[in-house]
Amino acid sequence: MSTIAPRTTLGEPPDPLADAPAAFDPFELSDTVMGDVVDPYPKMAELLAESPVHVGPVDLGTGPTETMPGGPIPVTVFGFDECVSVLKDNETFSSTVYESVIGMVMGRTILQMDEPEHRVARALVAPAFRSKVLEHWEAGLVRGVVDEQIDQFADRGRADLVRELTWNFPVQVIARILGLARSDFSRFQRWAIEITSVATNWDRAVAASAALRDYFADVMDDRRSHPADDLISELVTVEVDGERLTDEEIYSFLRLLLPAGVETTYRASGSLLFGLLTNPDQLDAVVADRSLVTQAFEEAVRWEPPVTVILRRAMRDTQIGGVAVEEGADVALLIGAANRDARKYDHPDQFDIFRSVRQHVGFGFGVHVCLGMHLARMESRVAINTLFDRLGDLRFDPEPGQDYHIHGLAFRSPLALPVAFSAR
Amino acid sequence: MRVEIRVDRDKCMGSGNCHFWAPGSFDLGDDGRVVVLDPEASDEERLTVAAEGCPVGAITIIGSDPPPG
Repeated sequence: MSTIAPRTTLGEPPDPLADAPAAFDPFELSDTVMGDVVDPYPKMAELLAESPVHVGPVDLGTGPTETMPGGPIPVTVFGFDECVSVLKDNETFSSTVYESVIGMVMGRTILQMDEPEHRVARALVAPAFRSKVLEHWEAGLVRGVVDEQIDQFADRGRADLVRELTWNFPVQVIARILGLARSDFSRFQRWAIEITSVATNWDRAVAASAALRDYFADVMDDRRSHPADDLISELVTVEVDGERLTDEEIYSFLRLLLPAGVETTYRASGSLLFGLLTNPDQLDAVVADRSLVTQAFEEAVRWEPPVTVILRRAMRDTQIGGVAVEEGADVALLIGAANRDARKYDHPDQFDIFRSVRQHVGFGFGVHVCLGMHLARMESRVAINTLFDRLGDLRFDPEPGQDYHIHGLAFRSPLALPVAFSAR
Repeated sequence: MRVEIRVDRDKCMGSGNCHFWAPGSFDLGDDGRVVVLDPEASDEERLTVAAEGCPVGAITIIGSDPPPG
């Protein structure tokens, strides 16, 4: 097993070893994929019961959050209705709060834009993510990717579905939708991991961002002269109401697809499998009736959203749920807590694909609602269906003492999904 | 029970969530904004989820009893 040397120079030529998948074990980047908190939800429920909105530091089990002395006092929102009200009021609560960290690495993207600029920019990229367009990728591309992953372990009778399935398929799907060369996939996956680990390794993320820019620049040049049936060809030609994307906007958007489109789907599909495997009656129901896969995925995104926090900044003195909020205050929306608000959901901590209340904020809400939610839904549905088509009698089969639980605070998913099965 | 669906196309930002929950009753038009199909094609629960789940609150469901006679 090898480790990844941090890249310290920008625009460094591609590492020739990057195309050797065996040389790269992403799980050595434990800072990227793991967090220490196993279950932050009891603490969140306790704070929510105290008040749906907290002003000042909160302690979710990792110590109190830090506050800038003298600055506006930050606010943390735990309640469902309160989160929804903030997400819908995009004039008072600005997304420019994302400029400082994510924006510096990804570039300027729709994530950090406010209206009216956001609406124009989103309209340029939105058509590629509509469910009708996605159907085009479903049967051949996504199913093919998942089949290929399952081929690697179907005969073995045992597998870790995190390392051998959920980790791999979303990045492969994105790479193919972008139209990247197959020989570039492992390099692309490495950059994806590096750029999404920005919170723990700034230099590595910045280097990956520059490497992706150079790489995409070449691909875009090629697609301008040789358009193909892929997303990059579409982005270099798209025009809405006379508006086009600049090269810099395309680089930024493509980079954003990595944390937004790869990491989230990997985490969400893992948590869905965890929910089903720990509730065998629901697993059996879904295996027997595949029309339930859709609502099972929605329940997984409610119960264990892959991203548990959304940030906004108050643009004026205001209030949330009757609690005063200062102009300039950072507002952390704990959508993970909101999705388990006992005022909205019965038995909120249970994974229950048959629950009657289905609305959730796992994809966010308001004008910034997840652009890729239909892709995430489709990919995960195909992955689960393919898995159930090919493997029977699926059940947890951990090594003694193996930790296969869902971990993390801001980003959550199972560390491993050790399963046994019989091939169909 | 007859159902009427009202949509605000100026508010609509084309999330497609309504089509996801109630595909027989909602779709996105060529301009990427909501169009109402058949209100009766989805049960009440799905229409409610579609309306509540609209991220910008562009959908209102109005239920009414069948007119007399």
